[in-house]
Amino acid sequence: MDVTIDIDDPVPQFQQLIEQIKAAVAAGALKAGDALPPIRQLANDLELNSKTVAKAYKLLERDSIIETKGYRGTFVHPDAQANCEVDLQDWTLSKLTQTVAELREAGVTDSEIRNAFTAAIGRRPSAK
Amino acid sequence: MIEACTFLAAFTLQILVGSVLQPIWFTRYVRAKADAQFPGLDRKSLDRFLSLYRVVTTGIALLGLPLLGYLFNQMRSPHWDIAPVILLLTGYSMAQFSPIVVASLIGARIKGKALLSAPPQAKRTASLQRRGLFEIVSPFTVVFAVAAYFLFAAFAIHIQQHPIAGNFGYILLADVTFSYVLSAITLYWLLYRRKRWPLETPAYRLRAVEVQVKIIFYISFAVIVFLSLFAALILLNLVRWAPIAMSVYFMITTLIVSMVLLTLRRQAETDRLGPTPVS
Repeated sequence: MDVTIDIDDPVPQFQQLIEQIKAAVAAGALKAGDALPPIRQLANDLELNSKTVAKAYKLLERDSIIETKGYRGTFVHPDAQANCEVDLQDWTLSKLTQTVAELREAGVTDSEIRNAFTAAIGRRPSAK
Repeated sequence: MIEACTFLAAFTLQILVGSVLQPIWFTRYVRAKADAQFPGLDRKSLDRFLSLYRVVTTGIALLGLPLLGYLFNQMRSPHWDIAPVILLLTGYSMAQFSPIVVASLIGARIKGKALLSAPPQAKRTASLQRRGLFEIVSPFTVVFAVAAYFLFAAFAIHIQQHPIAGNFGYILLADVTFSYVLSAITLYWLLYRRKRWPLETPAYRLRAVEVQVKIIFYISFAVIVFLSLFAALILLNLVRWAPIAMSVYFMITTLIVSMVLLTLRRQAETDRLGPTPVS
C-alpha cells in the first residue's frame, strides 16, 4: 500500500496523509492490527518534516483510526473501519451551526456570538 | 601437497567468481537500474563505461593466473613463508573488489550531480509497509549476532593468553569490533536514510533496504567464522590451510555482495515493466 503526497496541492500535507490512510482503511487495504511505518521512516520516504507526519498520526490516533503501542510502534485500531465513517470536523460544524442558529433566534447578535465564542474557546475546561 | 591442490581449486574459483561472474552480474544490474531509474542517461556513455569496467575486471582476472601459479609453487615447497602468500592474496582480493567500489563511487557522483540540477518532485510516494530491523531479520538473528560477538571476544582473550600469540588476540578482537561498529552504523543509515532519488520506487527502496540489511548480518557472521577459523588454524599449527580459508572467505563475501546485485536487478526490471503493489 503506497501513499502519495502532492506538495503543489493546496490541501495541507498532513491532511493528505490522513485522508489516504483513512481511504486505505475504508477500502480494506489496511486491516485492524496492521503495523504502520514509524514517523521517521514515512517522513524520510516522503521527504517531509517529521512533525508533519507526527501531526497526521496524532489526529488519526485521536479519531481512533490508529493506536500507538509504546515501543512496539503504531498499528491500525481494531475499530478503525467503523471510525473512518465518523468525521469529527463535520460533526463539529453541524453542532456549531445548530448552536449559532439557536442563539440568533434568541436575539443574540453575530458580534456577541463571536465574542462569546472567542471567550469560550479561551476558557480552560473546569476540573471535575 | 593436498593443501597446495586445495588452494589451487579455491583460488581458481575466487578468480572466477570475483573477476568473471560478479562483473557480469554487476553489468546486468547497472543496465537494469539505468533503464528503470535513469531514463535520461546517455546510453553510449554507459556502454563505454561498462566496457571499460569489463576490460579492467578481465585484466584483474588475467593477473590472477600468474599469481595462482606463483602461489601454487610457493605452497608446494616445504619451507614456504606464509607472510608473502597472505599479503599477495589480500592484495589481489582487494584488487578484485576495487572496480565495483570505484564504479559505485562514480555512480554516486553522477546521481549527486543529477539531483543538484533536478527540480524538486511535487509528488512523493512512500510505502505504508513498516521497514524496521525486526521486520527484516528475526530477533533470534540479532541476538545470535550479538552472542557471536561476545563468544568471539572470549575466544580472542583466550588466544591472547596463549604463549605464541603476541597481540594476535587483541588484533582479532579489534577487527571484529571495527566490523560490528561499521555494520551498526550502516544498519542505522540504511533504515533511516532519506530518500534521495525521485525515480526510486517504494518497492525498490524496500527491497534494497531488506537485502542490504540481511547482507550486513551475513557478512558479520562470515567475518566471525573466518577469523575464528584463521585463529584456530594457527593455534592448531595448521598454518598451511590459512590461505585456503582466506580464499574461500573472499569468495563467499563476493557471493554475498552479489546477492544485492541479483535481487536489485530483478526489482529494477519489475519496476521498468510497471508498478506493482508492495507485498
